[in-house]
Amino acid sequence: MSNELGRSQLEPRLPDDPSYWQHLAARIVDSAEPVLREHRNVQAWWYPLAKWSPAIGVAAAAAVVGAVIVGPPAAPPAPITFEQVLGPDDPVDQAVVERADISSISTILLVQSGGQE
Amino acid sequence: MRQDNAPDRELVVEARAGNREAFGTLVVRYLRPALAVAWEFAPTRDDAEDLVQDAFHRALRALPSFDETRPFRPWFFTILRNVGRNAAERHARWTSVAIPDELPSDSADPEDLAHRAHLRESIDRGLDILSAMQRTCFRLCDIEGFDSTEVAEMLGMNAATVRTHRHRARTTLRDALRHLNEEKGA
Repeated sequence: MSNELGRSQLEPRLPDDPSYWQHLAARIVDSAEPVLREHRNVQAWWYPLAKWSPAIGVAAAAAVVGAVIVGPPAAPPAPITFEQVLGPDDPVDQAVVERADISSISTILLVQSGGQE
Repeated sequence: MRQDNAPDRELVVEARAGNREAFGTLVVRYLRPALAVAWEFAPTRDDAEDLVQDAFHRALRALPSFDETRPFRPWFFTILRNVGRNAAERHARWTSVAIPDELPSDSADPEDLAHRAHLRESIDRGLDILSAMQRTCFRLCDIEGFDSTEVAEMLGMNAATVRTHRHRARTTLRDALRHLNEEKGA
């Protein structure tokens, strides 16, 4: 807290001359021209986004964390074959039925039961 | 400079898009109180002007991240006070120096001139013993003519606190003057 040399602290320090304020304002605005030019060069659409950039960043981070926690999506179930629907439940019976060619044991059983083609 | 009554919010939006006229209007609007505050941190008017210029430039650079729905004035004065504090810390040599000169007077009476000079010196001494905040509030309100509410916004405090500092400053100065009169009467 200080005052200029030779002035009483009781005297108003702010000048009354309007031209003083005009010159000071002009000096400040003139010297700010590089910054104003920078602002003009930035696309206007960016500013609303810039205002929300912290929120956007938090939301993106939350999405990444959520994706890591949940993990990759489950693989779709394999298509059900006709044999699985109509075939026998027993695994051995399924092996016999689902084979393209007739197994030798099947042939034996057919012969033994007296069945003929 | 555009001398219209555009709200700060509108000027802020235009200034951050690089509108020189809008920025100029903001500067004109807050220049006087800004210089008053800056001068509390600087020893000379030139130094105070530099602080004000620096604060306006910092505010302009920060406008893209400023929420225009919030009031501009307290935000700007916060920047200005920070600029002032940083400058005062950098220049520790900025200390209070009160050297009273002679009061301008039409009176040619040497005794009257001497009395006036003595009175001024006493009040200046009274101001010097005030706390920094009391002196600032007293100077901005009673000497520069800002009202308590305005000073509260400029200094980032509530109006009641400003009035308290101002009242204590006045009490201290009154005591100092009373002491002077007693000395004179003795």
